This record gives sequence, structure tokens and C-alpha cells, in this order.
Amino acid sequence: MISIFKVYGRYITSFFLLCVATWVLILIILPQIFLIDRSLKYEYHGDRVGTINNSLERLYASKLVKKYDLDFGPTCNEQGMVSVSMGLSITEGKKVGEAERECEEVLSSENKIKLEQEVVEINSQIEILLQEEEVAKIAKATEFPYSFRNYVMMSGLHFKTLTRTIYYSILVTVVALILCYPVAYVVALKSAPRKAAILFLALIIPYAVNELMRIYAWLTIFDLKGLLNTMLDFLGVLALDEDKAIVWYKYPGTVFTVMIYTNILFMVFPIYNTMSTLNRDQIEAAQDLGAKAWRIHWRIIIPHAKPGIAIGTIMTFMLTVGAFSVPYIITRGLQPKWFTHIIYDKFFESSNWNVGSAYSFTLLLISLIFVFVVMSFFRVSINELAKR
Amino acid sequence: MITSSNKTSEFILNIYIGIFLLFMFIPLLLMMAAGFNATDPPSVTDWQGFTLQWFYQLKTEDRLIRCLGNSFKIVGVVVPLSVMLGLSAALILTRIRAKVTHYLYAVLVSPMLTPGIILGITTIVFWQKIGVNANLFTVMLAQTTFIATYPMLIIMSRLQRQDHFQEEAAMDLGASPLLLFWRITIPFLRPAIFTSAALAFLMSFENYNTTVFSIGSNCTVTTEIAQQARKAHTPVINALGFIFVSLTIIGALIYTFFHRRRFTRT
Repeated sequence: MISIFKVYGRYITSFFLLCVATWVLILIILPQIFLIDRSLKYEYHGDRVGTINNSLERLYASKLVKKYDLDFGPTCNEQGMVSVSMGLSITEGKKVGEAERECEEVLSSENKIKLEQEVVEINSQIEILLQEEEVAKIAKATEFPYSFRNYVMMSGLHFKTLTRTIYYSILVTVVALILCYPVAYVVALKSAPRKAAILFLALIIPYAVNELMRIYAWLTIFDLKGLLNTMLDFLGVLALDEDKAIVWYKYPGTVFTVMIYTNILFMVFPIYNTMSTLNRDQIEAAQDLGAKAWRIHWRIIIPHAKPGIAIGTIMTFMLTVGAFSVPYIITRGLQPKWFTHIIYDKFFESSNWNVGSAYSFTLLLISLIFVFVVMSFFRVSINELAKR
Repeated sequence: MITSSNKTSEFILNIYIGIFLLFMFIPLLLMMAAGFNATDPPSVTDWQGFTLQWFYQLKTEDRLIRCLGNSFKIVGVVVPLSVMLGLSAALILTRIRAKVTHYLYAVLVSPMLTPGIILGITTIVFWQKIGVNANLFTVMLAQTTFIATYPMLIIMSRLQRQDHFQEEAAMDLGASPLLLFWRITIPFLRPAIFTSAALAFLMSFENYNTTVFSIGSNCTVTTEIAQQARKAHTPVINALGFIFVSLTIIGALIYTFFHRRRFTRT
């Protein structure tokens, strides 16, 4: 093996290294670290510093009003006294001239003193609060900023959504595996080259069609006047004209079906890829020796296709648990949310990014755990996985 | 040895494949058909006559066209960037054999196994801290994070079949590293680079999950379709769907034509 520096030279090799370093650090590792950092910081709402700030603001405002009264004074008019801080006080039942005179008497002495006293009092209150604020600020700054509060505080509803999402994802994965195995088997091992090519083409077309379009296509079927309701109407099960249409978007079965539909091909292709490398002579030899069909699958085909089954299972689960588009379009808000939508709300509706980060990291952990469980179950290493 | 039970099982399997393909194609065909029906909301059961009006209306959808333009801007950056990163990583991983490369490999494959929304979120959390708001730039980076893995794997599998004889000969004859890279390595990898670019294009263009979390208030064609599909169901999208599916079929036919040799071996 010749060293990479010798083959490609110093400059080209350094460029490669720089590219890979950028990818690893700027795109993968650092963003993950920032996410974890953020998820561990609890965002305070209505903490001590904030409350003090609020009271201080109120005191400053009332001080300003009293100051105004002192400087420009409440004025007397024919009806009595007008003051910024106390509003208009009308001296009722007195003659016009009398009220004005009385008002001026009041203003001249007592009131001014009273106002001055109030300002002094407010000033001392502000002093006290400013000191308290200092203390609270220091306390907040020295407090250890990291905690698991964002993780622990997940509400019952959110936790239920999470478990429901995981449950559905596992169900989708299992059903997809059962549905896909025969398809991969036929295309990889049971068909003559020409038929295999045609089947492969037929599978690659829906695989390559824009995911959003594939989801959108189902609206033609589930709509109120869609294919499903019209067919039931035709069969006489329900009457569309009398507004008896079934609102299919209400039922979890719709999301389930469309999830299977969009993710199933991510199961087919990895299994197909590994199966097609199996030497068909092995199957023929087993048949000649009298092995039954299920035994051939169990002892020859499945062990050979194991890495493909593992990667298909991982991809399908990962895509389902992290799905955003299918529930977004299909449920129309008529079904319980998917966990990804709660994360979306945390970021873009209630904009609590710290809690959102904690939820995201939880989702990431779940997919990681799933990857490790599947890999150890099928005894497959990550090197084998990615080569498929 | 063909027995009668073998024949029945083959028959059942063929029927099963037929049903499976119907399941895959019926929704797409219905959507395409509804694009030609003169009724809104789109439908295939309530046929009001053949029309091309929804296709003409596509031209007047300014917002959709702007979002489509954004998609192409993103693709224009993500495809070369992903191929460049993938190529670099593939060359390093195949040329350097050390314990470190094993971990490096695991790290570089990990974005492929991460839910797409998380890649979008980590990207905006990171760049917001630096002071860059979510927009097309963050989408480009978020998408590249995982799309670059595919070129890496494709190019690696081709590199593993490379005979080093040519490179050694070129070095003995005194070729400069740049000349060697340009005249030997790149031509050998050309088919793999081409496939990688096509795959990266497809993945970037149709990406939704990563995009919707990292785009801020901007849009791509997929986020726009999702928005419209969620609000109301409009036949203009069906017309766009017809175009997308048709282009995909043409692309798939071309792909199969170039890879037909793969099926001739048994």
C-alpha cells in the first residue's frame, strides 16, 4: 500500500483532509454538541431577576409622574384641582370662585410636602430593589446552568405521543418487512434476467418519485369525494348525496397505510441487493437434496440476506419515527400528533428551543438504540451495513 | 426439478407481485389523471371533462415558481459539495488504514442513520449561535451533512476494485500528483461520480424533512407542496405531479438502459 501523500502529493491530500475535517466538525460533530448543550439548559420564565425588573419599572414610572406634579404642579381651574398623578378632582357643590381659592390653598403647602415625601419613599424603594437585583443576578450567574429539567419535565401528553409514535413505527417496520420479503425474493432470485429488469424498473419508478407527490397522491383516494367514498357509495354502503361521507382522515389507518406506502421501498432495495448476490446454485443444490421451501429460506436465503434485512429495518424505522410529511398532510389535524410535530411546535410555534432540543435528542437516542438493537440481533457490524 | 407445488407457489408469488405493484402505482396514476379533470378540488370519480387548464395555470403560480427556483439553487450547491466531500472521504478511507479511519467511517455514516429532522435542527441551533439565521444557506449545509455519505459509499466501492498498477506506473514515469489524479484517478472514478451526482440531485431536490426544519420562512418546491396539500387540495399540484412522475419515468428508463448489464449475469 502506497501512502496517500506519495500518490496524490501534499497539496491534493491536504485538500482532501480539509474537506473531511470540515464535514466531520462543522456539519456533524459541532452541531450535535450544540444541540446537547442547548437541551441541557433550562430556560427560566418569571424568575427572580425578571420579577424585580418588573417592579423597578413600575416604580420608575410612578416616580416620573410625581416629579412632573412637583415641577409643573397641579393646576387650579374653576372647577378645582387638576393633577397628573391624581387626575381631576372636582370640588362639588361649591361656588366656582370658592373652589379655585380652596384649591390654591391646598396646593401651596401640604400637598407639595406630601409629594416630596412620596418621591423620597419611592427612591428608597428603588435603592432596595436595585440591591436585591444585584444579589439575584450574581446568584443566577453562579448557578450551575446545566440540568436535566428539559428532559424530565416532558408532560404526560407529550410522553404519550412519543410512545405512540414509537409503537406505530415498530408496527410499520414489521409489516413492511413481511410485505417486502417476497417481493425482494422474486425480483432477486425467482426471475429470469429480462423479467427481473422489468420488475426492477417498476420498483425504481415509485422509489424515485418525489416523496411529497407520493403522499399527495393519496388525497385523491381519501378525500370526502375521493375514490374510497365513491366506491362505497357505488356499492350502496353509504350515500354521498346525503352528506354521509366517511371522513377517512380521522382514522389512524390512513397514516399507517401511507407510511407503509412511502417507506416500503427503503425495505425492498437493501434486501434485494443482498439477496441478488446469493449464488442460485446453492438453492438448487438444497432442492436436489430434498429440502423444503421454508427450510431453504430459513437456512440459506435469510442468513445470506441478513445485512440487507438489518439495513432495511433500520431505514424504515428511522424514516417512520422521524416522519414529518405524512402525518402533516394526511391527518389534517384530525388525529393525534406525531412526535416530530411536537418538536416542530417547540421550535417554531412556542419557540422554546431548549425544550425542543431536548425532545430532538430524545428522538435521536431512540433511533440510535434501535440501530444497536437491530445490529446486535442480526449480528451485523456497521461496516457491513453501509456497504449494501 | 419443477414440481406442481413449485408451480402453484410461483403463481401465488406472481399474483402477489402484481398486487404489490398495483399498490405502488394506483395512487400515482389517480393523481396524474386528476390533473386533467376540469374540476376543483381534484377528483377522478367526478369527471367534468378533459382539460389542460391546470397546466397553463402552473405558469401563473409565482410563489410556486419562486420556490422551485430555490430548490434549484440548493441543488446547485448541494450536489457539487456532496460529491466533493464524498470523494475526499472515500479516498482517505481507502488509502489510510489505521484504527482512526474505522471511527471516522462510523462518524461519516452516522448522518445516514439519523432522522432527517434532527439534521435540520442541529444545523439551525449551531448557526443561530454563530448569528446566522435559517435560510437557504442552512438548508444547503443540513442536506449536505447526510447526502455526502452516499457519494462516499458509491465511490468507495469503486475504489476497492481499483488496480493500483496504473498509478504506480504513472509515478515511476514521473507524473506529477496533479496529473496522476486528473488523468488516472478521476477517469477511473467517472461512472461512480456520475451516479453519485444523480443520486445527490434526486435526494436534495425531493428532500422535505431536513429542509422544513432548516429553511426558516423561505420555501422550496417540497415545502410549498406540503403547505398547499395541508390547506386545500388543488389540481395545479396534480398537474405538477404529472410532470414530476413523467420526468421520473424517463429518468428511470435511462438509468435501466445504462445498467441493463447488471441483470444479464445470473
